[in-house]
Amino acid sequence: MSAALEAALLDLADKHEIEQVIAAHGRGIDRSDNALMSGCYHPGATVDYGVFAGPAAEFCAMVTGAPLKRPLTTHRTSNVWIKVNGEKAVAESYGLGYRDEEDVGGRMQRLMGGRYLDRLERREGAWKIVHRTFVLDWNINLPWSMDTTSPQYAGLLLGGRRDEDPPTRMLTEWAARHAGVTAAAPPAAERATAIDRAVSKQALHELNTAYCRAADRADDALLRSLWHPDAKVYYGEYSGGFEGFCEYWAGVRDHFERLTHLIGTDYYDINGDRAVGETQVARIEVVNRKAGKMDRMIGGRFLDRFERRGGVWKLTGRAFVLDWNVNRPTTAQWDKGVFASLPLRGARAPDDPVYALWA
Amino acid sequence: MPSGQGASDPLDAVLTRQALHDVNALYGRALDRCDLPLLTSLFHPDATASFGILETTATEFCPRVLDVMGALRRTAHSLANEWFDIRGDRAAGEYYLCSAFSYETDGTGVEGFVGGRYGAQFERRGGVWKYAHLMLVMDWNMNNPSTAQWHLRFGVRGDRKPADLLYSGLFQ
Repeated sequence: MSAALEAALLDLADKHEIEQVIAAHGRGIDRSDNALMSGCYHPGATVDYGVFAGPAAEFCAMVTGAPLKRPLTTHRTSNVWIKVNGEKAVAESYGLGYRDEEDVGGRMQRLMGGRYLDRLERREGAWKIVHRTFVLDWNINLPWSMDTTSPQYAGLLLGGRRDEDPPTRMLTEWAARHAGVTAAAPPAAERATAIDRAVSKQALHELNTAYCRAADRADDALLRSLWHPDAKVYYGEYSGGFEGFCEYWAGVRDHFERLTHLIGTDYYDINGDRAVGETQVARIEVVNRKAGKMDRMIGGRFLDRFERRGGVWKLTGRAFVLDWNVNRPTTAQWDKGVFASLPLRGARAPDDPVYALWA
Repeated sequence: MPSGQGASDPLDAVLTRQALHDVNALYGRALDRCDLPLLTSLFHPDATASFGILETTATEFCPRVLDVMGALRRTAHSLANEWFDIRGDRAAGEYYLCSAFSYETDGTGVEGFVGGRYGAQFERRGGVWKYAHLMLVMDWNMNNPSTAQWHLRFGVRGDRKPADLLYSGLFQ
């Protein structure tokens, strides 16, 4: 067994443990569960959300202590990209937030997006956050339009906080029924292949997150680094080689005042040194038009082909499939209410704070 | 509760987390492409589903949920924020969905967004992880008159199976 493969396996295991912490943080906020949320931080950890900058423990108590009867919130993380270095790690993840609250014009539903920039450490075997910064990238605010009667929504179970939430109750009961069980290791003969496939999948996931960072931060060097020389891109407005795509992109991106590629559900099928992938993507942007600023969301999927050459996985083909889109006059708010309390804002390379984190 | 609790070998923990992610990803694909054989293949034969209005066996659940999806013009399920509690050959987890629905009400196009969460129980039988139980809760939805512009020159238009580009052979 090669030492390099075993080291790659441990690196991946660390990343999975960190992903679990990042996911638990969102669950802790949304269920108003202080133990779950504060359990994501080591003692002495700090957060910087702009207006609130200080001890994580204080922040967790404040957030999870808010009235339980208020409408549900969502804090969903995707695009998780982690870099592990010994007992320390850094991570960037994209947050999709939702809240439902009164505004001057009546009850509003707010969608907002930003990024969590985390520094983590492993202490006594447990990876946890030691510092988290949140930067706000976009928000959309629309009059309340919840529907519980159309066929696709009627009769569905509804989420809740703490023990009133059905999945939370289910998970608690399940955990009580199933005590810890040790799983068998896969057969030694298949070990090297299994590690190689697992590490390859992670490499493909990281290529996808890197594409999003490159596009969203206008990071040309990063964008160019993701493709093999003969890679082709089918993007609708542009089809051809990847170098032409990078030029096309550099030409259109200045129309976007803000841009976020939110991904999810990435799936990879690996066959030796080749792979295909399908990834859900929503391109969320504020675009300047003659008629004024528009909020635009372009939803679809990346269908990808990847190859490993010289030990490095890169894209050889990418097609964008359009599934849905939204175009309306911008409703972004930057200086009032919840948004005023989040004054740290995303920027382009090299000014965005992710570059200091990643250095 | 960390993922992989009780796992002696990091390889098993890593492979399991990826396998559970893949089951979830293929579930999203099966809904959006209306692929009943794929959807059915993700559940063990005795699996159950709990969606409120649908409290039933997976066998009955799968065609019914695809009837609901098929009645909408388009759906796109994006899953993330996966959290798993893994114990040997069993696991449970929660993950967040954000779905975009395009549909018609009284002849008018509507764009819907749904925020919700799946709670799932998984079992590994014969080395294969599948759902033993799947629960969905809706946290919120938003429904506004469609502002879609289909003259946008962005890529190929998505479709269901087998018309979608996914099945063209280029990406299989």
